[in-house]
Amino acid sequence: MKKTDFFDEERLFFDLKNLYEGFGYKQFKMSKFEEYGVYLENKKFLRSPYVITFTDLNGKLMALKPDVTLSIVKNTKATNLQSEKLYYKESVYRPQGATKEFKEISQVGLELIGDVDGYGILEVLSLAGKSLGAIDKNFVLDVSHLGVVLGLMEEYGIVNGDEVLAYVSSKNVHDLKTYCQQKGIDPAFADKVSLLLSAKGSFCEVLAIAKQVATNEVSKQAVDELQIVCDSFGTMGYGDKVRLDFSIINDTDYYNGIVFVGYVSKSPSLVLSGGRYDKLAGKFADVKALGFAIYLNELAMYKQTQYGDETDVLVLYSQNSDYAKVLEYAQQQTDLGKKVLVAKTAPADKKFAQVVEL
Amino acid sequence: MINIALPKGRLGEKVYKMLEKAGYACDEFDKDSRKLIFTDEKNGVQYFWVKPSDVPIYVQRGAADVGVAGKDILLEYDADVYEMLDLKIGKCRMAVAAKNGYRDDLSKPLVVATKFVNIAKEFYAGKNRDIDIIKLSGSIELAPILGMSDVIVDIVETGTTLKENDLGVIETILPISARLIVNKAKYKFKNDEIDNMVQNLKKELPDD
Repeated sequence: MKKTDFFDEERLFFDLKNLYEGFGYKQFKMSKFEEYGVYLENKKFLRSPYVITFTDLNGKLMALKPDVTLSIVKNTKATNLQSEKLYYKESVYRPQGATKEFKEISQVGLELIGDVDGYGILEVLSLAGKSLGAIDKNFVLDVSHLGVVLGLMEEYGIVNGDEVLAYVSSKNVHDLKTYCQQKGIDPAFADKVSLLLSAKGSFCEVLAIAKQVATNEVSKQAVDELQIVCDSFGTMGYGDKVRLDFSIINDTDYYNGIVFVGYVSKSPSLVLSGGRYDKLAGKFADVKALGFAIYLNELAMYKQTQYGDETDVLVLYSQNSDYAKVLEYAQQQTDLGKKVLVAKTAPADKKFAQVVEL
Repeated sequence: MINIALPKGRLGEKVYKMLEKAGYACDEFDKDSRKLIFTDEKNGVQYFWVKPSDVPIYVQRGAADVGVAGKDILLEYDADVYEMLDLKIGKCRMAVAAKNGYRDDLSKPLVVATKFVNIAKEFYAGKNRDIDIIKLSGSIELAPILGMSDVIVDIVETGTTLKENDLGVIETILPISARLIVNKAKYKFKNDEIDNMVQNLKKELPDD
């Protein structure tokens, strides 16, 4: 296997770093700990409510970071006139998998805080697309705007909409229709959502369908914002890799506006997730914010296979061997690009392409 | 090629028949065979049988692109998948049952025996009722008969088992049927293939 054939996390980060720094984003390093209170107050923003906590020497309750964005906006110096452009590579600690044990999860992310206008949206979306392309050329970036569905809900008088949003995010139109029937919601609502969710075609084609549905102020505004993305499509050059999908729903207490998720062909889960979180940022400063994170642990499928890890040559030597010759031989082999293991006895659990006794 | 996880048992066989009619037959397919995977290159499908409660796991993890699971299992395991179609077969309901003549005592926590811990928890949380859950894996009906629990939360199809044991349904939680679920990432990359399958299956759905 050639060295360039396999995925390398370090190299990916190097590429992303160059990409982000090229657009003026600065790396943000932070401590592994944060005061627990920050997470307690913003529990719904976290992907999981479980946090590893400990008491520090001053008696303060601290937490191992389950999230990076909160720490960044909490300390932001950005204002509505002066934006901050940041990226990071950090570990977060969350329960994962069937065993629900805490895992250290490595993520790379990018945040634009301050004044987020149409250009800012395009820049961040374009960087999200480029980041996915750096992992795998075969990727999909799904974009949506929460305002479209929320506007529709407002129009039809749906106040407590968690259940409705859950149906939307799983593209579950059949149960949404039953729910509307039970709650006495105008069936036209479910029909409109169904139209949005089943719309097929390019970003701009799906947007044209959304325009027919968006009749109130909130949804119209959302559609206008999406129009900016549609208009600049030529310059972004992603073709049908960037799609409009109204099933993307993030927590509406914190997120508003544009939201997006990214997939790459070999991973069965989403590898990038982002969106506009003015509501969260607004809790700490008078700013707007947009960002995304890439979950490096979801890229395991791209990592080097066991095959590439194997050692090529086993060099066996004994007490009577000429040590200088052994070293010289090993050196020759590594110069040829081979991996060498020098040992007195062969390890039982490994296989080698070649065994040499010296 | 679409990978399909089918639930072992009667429901899976019914679903396969629907898929066969919809144009996704598999020549290799033989329900009595011990083979685990059946492929049909011509129709572009690969089937495998898994334990019904494992279907959402196979789909969420992307080992299967699509799968069929009962609504009960989807709610209990809370899988992050698209639920694209109600197949309208395997119909039954999730219900609360108790010994005939049972009267609820609101002054103490309700003891509930069930296989479906999450569904029971959510149902009673919605009613603000304090409960004590006993998780069982089978023969749930025994629990109230032996006085181990006040009520059970379980799937009721015809109600015969309940009747024979002097039990009765006191409340329906929700109707259940088989659903077609799809892995979110796979849907992005096999969009047309999966959408076609959904459309073709829609034509084979039984009437309400």
